[in-house]
Amino acid sequence: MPNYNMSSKLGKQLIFDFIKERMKDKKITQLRLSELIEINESTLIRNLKGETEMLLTTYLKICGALELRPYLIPSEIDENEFKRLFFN
Amino acid sequence: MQLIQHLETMKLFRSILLNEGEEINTSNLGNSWTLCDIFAEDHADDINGFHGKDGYVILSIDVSENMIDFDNSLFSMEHRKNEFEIVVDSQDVECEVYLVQGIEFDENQIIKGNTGSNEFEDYTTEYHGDLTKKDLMNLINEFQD
Repeated sequence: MPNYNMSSKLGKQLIFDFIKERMKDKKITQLRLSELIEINESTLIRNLKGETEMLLTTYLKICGALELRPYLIPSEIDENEFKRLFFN
Repeated sequence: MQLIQHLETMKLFRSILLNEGEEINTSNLGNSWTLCDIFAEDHADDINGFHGKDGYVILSIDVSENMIDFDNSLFSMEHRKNEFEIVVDSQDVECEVYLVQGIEFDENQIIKGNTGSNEFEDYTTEYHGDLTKKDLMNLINEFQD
């Protein structure tokens, strides 16, 4: 059985780094983002620090607020760098 | 002619590198703050690489327009655009602990102190560049929307 633990750990960090870069580009602070997606500010901060697990609903709300598309792409047609870095 | 949009207050952030158990120097909290909390984290994490310290605290303050050193803020905006820096005049301030990383530190405390007079290496007494106060206020407003 393949083990996806490491890919999930690295993938999570990649996603959080990407979200933070997007926040800088859009000039949105964590406080503002927490207001936009209607969750507690400290919950969001702990999520993004990796201290607590982020709910899928929170992730999708973040995608909405930051105008990101959370596509699920079949690996056989994926040419994104995540293919190499994430699940190989 | 477009009017400058005035704000009551704006929230600024600053990271302070600390060792475990070390106290914040409240007589010199620093003049350089940023509009972007993510940049304050990046600055402590990546740029300074913790500077050999155990962790950091990010402070936040609410400041009004009359607390800003516009010459140095505009200079920074021109030379360090990606830092979203706002330079605050030397004065007494009340900060909130916004985020703690790597050390034990009470996240709910209020820190009272002075921003100090640490004139940084490229401190300017008068800005002569092309940017205007309106440009800076527009940047500030982008973070408040």
